[in-house]
Amino acid sequence: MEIRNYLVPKSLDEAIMVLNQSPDNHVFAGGAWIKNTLKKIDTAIELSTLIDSKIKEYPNYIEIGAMCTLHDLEESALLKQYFGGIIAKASQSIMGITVKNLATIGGTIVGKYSFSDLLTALLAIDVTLVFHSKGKLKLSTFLTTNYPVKDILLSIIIEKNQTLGYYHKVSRTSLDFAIINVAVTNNNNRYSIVVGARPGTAAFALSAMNYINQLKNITEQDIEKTCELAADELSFSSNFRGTKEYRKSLAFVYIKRGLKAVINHVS
Amino acid sequence: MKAVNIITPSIDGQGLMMGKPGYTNDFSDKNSLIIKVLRSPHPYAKIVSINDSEALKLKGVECILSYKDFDRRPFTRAGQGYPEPSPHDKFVFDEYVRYVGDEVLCVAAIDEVTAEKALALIKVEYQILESVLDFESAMNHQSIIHPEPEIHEMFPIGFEPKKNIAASYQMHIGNVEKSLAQCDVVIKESFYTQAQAHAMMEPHAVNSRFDYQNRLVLYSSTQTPFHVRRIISQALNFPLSRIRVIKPRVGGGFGGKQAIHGEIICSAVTIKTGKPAKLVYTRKEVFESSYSRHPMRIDMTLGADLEGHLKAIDCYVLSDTGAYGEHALTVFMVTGSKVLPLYNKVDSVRFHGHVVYTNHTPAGAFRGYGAIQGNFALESAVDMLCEKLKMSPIAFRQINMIKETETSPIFAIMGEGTEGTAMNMETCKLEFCLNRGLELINWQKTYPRIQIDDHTVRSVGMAIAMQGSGIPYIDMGAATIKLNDDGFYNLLVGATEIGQGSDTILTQIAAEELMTTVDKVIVYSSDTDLTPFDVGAYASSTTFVSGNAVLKAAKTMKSKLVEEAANYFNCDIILVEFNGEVFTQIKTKDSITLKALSNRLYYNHDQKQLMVTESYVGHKSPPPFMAGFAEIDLDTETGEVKVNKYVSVVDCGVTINPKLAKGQVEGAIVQGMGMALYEDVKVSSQGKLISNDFMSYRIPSRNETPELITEFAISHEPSGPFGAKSVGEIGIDTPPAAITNAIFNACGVRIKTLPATPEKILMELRRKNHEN
Amino acid sequence: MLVNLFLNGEAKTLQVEPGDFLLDTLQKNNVVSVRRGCESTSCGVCTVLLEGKPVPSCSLLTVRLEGKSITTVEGIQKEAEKLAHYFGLEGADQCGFCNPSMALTVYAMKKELKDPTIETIKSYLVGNLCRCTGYQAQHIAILHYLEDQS
Repeated sequence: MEIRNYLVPKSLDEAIMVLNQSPDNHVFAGGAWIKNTLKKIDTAIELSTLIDSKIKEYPNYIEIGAMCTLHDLEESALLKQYFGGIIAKASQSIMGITVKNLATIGGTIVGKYSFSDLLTALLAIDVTLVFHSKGKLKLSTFLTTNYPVKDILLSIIIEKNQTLGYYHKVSRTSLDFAIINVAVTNNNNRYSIVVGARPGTAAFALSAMNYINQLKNITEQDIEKTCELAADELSFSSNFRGTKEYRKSLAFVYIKRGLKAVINHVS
Repeated sequence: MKAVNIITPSIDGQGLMMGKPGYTNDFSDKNSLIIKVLRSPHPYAKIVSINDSEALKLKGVECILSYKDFDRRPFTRAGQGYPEPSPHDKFVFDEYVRYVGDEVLCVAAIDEVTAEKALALIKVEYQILESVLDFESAMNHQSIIHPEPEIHEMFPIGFEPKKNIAASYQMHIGNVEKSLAQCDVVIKESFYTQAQAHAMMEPHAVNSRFDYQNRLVLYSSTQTPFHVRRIISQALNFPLSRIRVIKPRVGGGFGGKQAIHGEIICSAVTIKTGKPAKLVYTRKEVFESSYSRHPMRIDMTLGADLEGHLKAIDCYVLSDTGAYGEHALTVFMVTGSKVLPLYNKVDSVRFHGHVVYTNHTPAGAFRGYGAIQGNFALESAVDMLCEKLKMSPIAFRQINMIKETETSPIFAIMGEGTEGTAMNMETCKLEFCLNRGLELINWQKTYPRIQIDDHTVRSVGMAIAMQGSGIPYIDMGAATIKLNDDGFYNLLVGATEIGQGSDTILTQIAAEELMTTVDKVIVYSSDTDLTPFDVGAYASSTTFVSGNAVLKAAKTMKSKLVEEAANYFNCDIILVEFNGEVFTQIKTKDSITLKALSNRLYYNHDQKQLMVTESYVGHKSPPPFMAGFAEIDLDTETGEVKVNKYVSVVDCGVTINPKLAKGQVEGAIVQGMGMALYEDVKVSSQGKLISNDFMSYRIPSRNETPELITEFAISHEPSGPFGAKSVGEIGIDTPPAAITNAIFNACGVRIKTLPATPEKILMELRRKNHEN
Repeated sequence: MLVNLFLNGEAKTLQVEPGDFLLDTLQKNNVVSVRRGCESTSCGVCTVLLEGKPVPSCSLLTVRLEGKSITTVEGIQKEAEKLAHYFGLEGADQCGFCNPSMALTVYAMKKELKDPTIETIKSYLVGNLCRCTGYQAQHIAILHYLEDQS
């Protein structure tokens, strides 16, 4: 790996300044993925000394430091209590422990990786991101916007509520990247449906969500209809892990299973 | 028995776990030049020009070698006995590159960074030639992959390079067409198997240097050190007597290290520069530029009468050997010879086929060696035939399969590249294996399927298999035993420990015969200067062939010891009793310990070194047998398959080391499961292997491993050491057929192209439901 | 540049380039027990402990380890020996290439998890690939090792 300089910045301001000086400057969170994504780096900017890695509980919300590792996420007893434990489940479904001891939630979010398992779960509860310059942003906004100026993610804020959650990843072996992953949540009868690795960064199935969220009573037919809408509106494509058609079929099946798992009563 | 057939920890496991140096790269010279190979980006091209002037100017670049630096001397890297049944169709480097990843040239530099930089500076101009990427249209293709005039076969193997045929063969017993015409039920099906990767954890590695006697000394991660020595000598025209190949600990092979990889290039760099050098493959090189299992199409025709008697088997095989013909003929022949005798009561059998060149990564030896491919086809076809006969696949096998004392005419006709060897099954516990397996998998309860919930079906499927124990009249193994003062022994073997436990089990065999304990036998394996010859670790030969050599050597040592004791007692040898520790003169009751006798022989009286060497070459190859049973859960909405349980009941004779034998079976089962379900090989339309790392090529992880239930039949093979047959390969053969049979039993979908991915299952299920 | 770290408890000052990965640094400094199985963090062979946690040394930049503590199997010899004993009894050690990394990961697991079951052992070790054993014998051996409190 070619890295010209390694910088331990004194402050976040310094880090942001250097980061935006050159497209070849990069911040380093866990760094688990650099080998597979970057070839040449001018200045590598260390973040571990500036950013928190703890999961903290407050009366109304949970705050996760951006440097929190995926292994800490999967082991967190606190996160297992909320949203059907989908954050822990999504973290569990990722590669092996050695990678998860390096990879961070911050790096995962900022990378907007199309194969990400964690983003699918986080988007389903649409967490709030706290950036150094931009301040607070919804994950959904961040994922769908291109930002010309590079920023640094500090933490992730998740509102505590009684949301029910379902998460499922389909992959060839448990260590592999997803052929598809699905998260479905029910926050007081407001449903969210997210599908990732289509292959494409996690996204809401908005018209399916609109459809089901208008309903007073949900029937089996409504669930089928919702799954059809979701499978039709989301873009799927083929790669060596699976074809477009297969992904679409899987999305349909697992959204259905997800909805059945989180809907309190099917009439 | 005191040392064999009892639980004995491997003799080297502790040191390796503690991180002691043991593997090839651990022994590289610290000042080694680092070798990097420039590899072809094209599936088929002619090199028009190489411009390496900029690279040569780079400080630290020691040499760049291409085809221009070598005489044109064809050889085969196959790593087989001599003369090889593989065509001599490879040059160290050639003007032609024949697959994406083929060697163009190599750079040797003082460090890795410099070598990589040099590679980037080299400009190669190619004339792109029409590539052959579909093996079914390779034969007689207008593009000829090996047009060069120097290449040749060593003896007739059906080599026709102008037709892109690396090897071909045919045999028949009886008249298949006539038999099939008389059958009540006939099925004819084609099966496809993929280019499975060995994926051993240690990448291929080699390092070389000249020693103080100016001899070329290599450490190599190889299964065949003696063949490596011979092939280096042939390819580089370098005296055999000046080459020493040391095989240290090898981090897994599975056949993938039977052939030569970087050894010739590494030797060439050391010869050219006089400096130590090393070449360690990247994982991408292991995938793209070593070799894989031969992908095949197998056309299987079976005919039976209404009572379920199998009458005729017609098997045609088309095998893809890729760019070079290593093991082309022999893997293809084993597809018949170690599969078709399972059903020995047929009136007629035909086995024929072709092995074609393509512009794919070459294929070569891989555990199972054709038998896994053939087993998938035959054992799937048998279940399909049973479906048509409305007959239980168990009952069918019980009627038709080979049994103890029986034989098959195929044994005499088909060997590996040569004629075979007739033999009767002195041990064949297949009936026991089958019946015990039925109990362990709870067949009656689950067959064919149980509905678990609205989308989950549980089912079972099975297959039977056989393999061999070495290649008769070809594979030779030798062992030397040396007596030391203090009464312990050295055991020197050419047999190659590659992680399968051969050092341990050979030590056990010696200890058993010498009536001592394993700690008194110090084994050293595979160094062409120090140990006697052995063909190496392949063809399931080590336990049977090398084990017999060790047993013979131990017997001879024992009689020498008794002779020396008789000298000491000044009596006839028949009056000497030896219990492993003490010699007793049975009349006078005089005694001397082995320790005292050996010290006396070293230092005091009639001094001499006791050392014996014995060789063994098999006159038969007693097959191990097994029955394998899978229980799966299949999701009918997604096609996902989970293997819950895999039962293996194996007849490998007496297990020298029961736990290590179990390890061989279980490791092979999971590897076979990988081939059956997960290990999808993807090649781009431009001929590039896409599945070229552990992120794109998925071997089973812990989470895919089912409950493994492994038992051994009570069996004693008279020709084996202490009753043993081989166990290295047999475990891999059944999972593809057993699992796809279970898939059929679960949902009626017949997967004929491996791997059986969920997507294939679901799409077939939809097609089937649509038809209904 | 220079990096000060603790290798198996011993303070070391290492000369490295910013782009050097720990695996290469260790090999240059004659630690042969940490070996390379792939280049993509996907096999587990190059595992070391960073502050007690298993991490892939092939993807960890050495410059980032200032003041940090690294453990290789040389730092847990007694535990490795004990685990090897149970591997030996189950025939769970075949080629052995990944066994030092296995010992490190199992050791970290023992410190981190309470009363692991076969299922938790599987998920903790899932990133440690093995092509030889079929895994089951390893899991049984590891359970026995964990039961041994001596």
